[in-house]
Amino acid sequence: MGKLFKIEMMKLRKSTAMLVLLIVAIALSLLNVGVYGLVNLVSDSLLSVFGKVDGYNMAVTMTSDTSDIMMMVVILMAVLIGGDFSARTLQTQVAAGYSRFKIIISRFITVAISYVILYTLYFSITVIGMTIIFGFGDGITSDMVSELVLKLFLSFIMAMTMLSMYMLFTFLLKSTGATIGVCLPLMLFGVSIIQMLSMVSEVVYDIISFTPFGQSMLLGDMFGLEEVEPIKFICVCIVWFSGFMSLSFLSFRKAELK
Amino acid sequence: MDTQQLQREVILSVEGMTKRYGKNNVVSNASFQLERGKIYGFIGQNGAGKTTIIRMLAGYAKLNAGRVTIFGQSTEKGLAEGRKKMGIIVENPALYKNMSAYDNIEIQKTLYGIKSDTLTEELLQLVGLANIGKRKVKNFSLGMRQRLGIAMALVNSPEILILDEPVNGLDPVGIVEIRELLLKLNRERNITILISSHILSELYQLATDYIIIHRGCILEKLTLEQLDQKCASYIVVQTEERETAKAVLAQMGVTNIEDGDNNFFRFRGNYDVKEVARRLMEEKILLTHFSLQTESLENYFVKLIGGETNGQVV
Repeated sequence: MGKLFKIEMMKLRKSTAMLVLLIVAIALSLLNVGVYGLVNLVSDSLLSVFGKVDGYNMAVTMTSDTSDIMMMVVILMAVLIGGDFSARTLQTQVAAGYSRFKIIISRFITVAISYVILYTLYFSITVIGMTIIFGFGDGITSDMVSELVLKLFLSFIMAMTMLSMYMLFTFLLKSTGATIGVCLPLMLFGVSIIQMLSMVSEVVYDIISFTPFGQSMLLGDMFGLEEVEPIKFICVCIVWFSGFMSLSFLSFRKAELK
Repeated sequence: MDTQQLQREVILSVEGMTKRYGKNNVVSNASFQLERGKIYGFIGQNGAGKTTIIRMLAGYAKLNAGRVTIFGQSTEKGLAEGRKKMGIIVENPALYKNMSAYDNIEIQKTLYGIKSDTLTEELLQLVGLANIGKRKVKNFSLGMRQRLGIAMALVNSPEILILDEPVNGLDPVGIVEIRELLLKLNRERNITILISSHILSELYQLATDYIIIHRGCILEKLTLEQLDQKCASYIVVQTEERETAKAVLAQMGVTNIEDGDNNFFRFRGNYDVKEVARRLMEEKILLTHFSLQTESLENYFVKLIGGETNGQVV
């Protein structure tokens, strides 16, 4: 397992896709900071449209919306794992005697690390930039910081659950193009569709609240965690994560490799 | 264990291997063995089942029936252990194209947990890529990629090398390079090689044994000597005194003479070539051509599969 993980890290270091995505993440965060900074220069009244703008509020907002980074990681996952299938480098690991379970887990850990790297970069550059321009915020209490940390933690758990679902698609489809073709539309429209469905009735809303999509909607509430029940949130994520990972393994275990 | 025993040691065996896709039997009840130190030519048309068998040996695909035994082990765990002593290339080598040849071998070393500092250079040297080891693989020619693939397959010092169409698409120089490399590996490291190829004349220069597969069934297993015996030899003669020559040959018991154009004729049988030539010359018959011709592996293969060709084998 350690050897597989080491190989994945070597691949990540040499990956052009990872390099491009790091540049994109930096560019996006600078763009975020730049836009707010520019608006601040042009007009204070225009800035009021965005609500209270400072480092703390930007950090809270960013924990609610991880879609940019998630999209980047899904592309990276499709490129790395889909590329492994088409180049047959993944098959080499099977022939070298590694279990398919270990192969899946090593891939998932790599994807999770990529997420952490990209998110940390994106988050810290944006928050630091905003803090430099607007300050971190007035009247920040320790409760507010604790809530921010909790939101970051829940956001990470949600991201891992969603990534396990995209991982399932990657191992089912075994190709970069097909994975991107399925996962990106799902990311773009999936939450919107679920949101619409949840408005149909209370029962549907309750059912959806037991899915990661439903819980991610609650986490998406930008300024608080009032709607989120942390225990239910974590349980839903763990159950779905285990389900997606088990399905990935079961589909890959019997898969015919070319 | 003496040398002869080592030579006869069965290190891989396949018994009753069957693979179905839907209702199609892609491989039916295939059985064969690989003995240490030999080079096996795996011959069959496209779609005959060669790659499917190789994929099952590599563990990429599961058997529907039958058993594979590698180094005496046939359990799932034992096979996984056995495969660590095998080098396998299915169709094209599995390479990280945006990395250098050096990095590719380093990754393979990590995969097998090999710590040697000099192995990468040694292998690049062995396959003739030492001077371009730092160049990215995406800039490599097909032949260079094949050689790198073989270098990677050698990282774990395999006892068996399984190569699926390693010379496919290579130019003549590339084919010769791969052939010489494989012969060297077999000779110097006593590596058993199973190699499938469409280029039968190439296999004939390499293999010591042959496994012929057709429509998923193993048709024949034979050694090079057996093949040579089975490939009938013709004595081909050209002379303007054809009838006189035929009469002399008839006295020698030759009856199955086949006439050709331009005063050529040929006959097959267990005749001493020197004796035939001497008798014809004693009768002062002027020979403008006299040769012993052996049927090619191609012809033998086509004959064996019942004359079927798909334009790809011969």
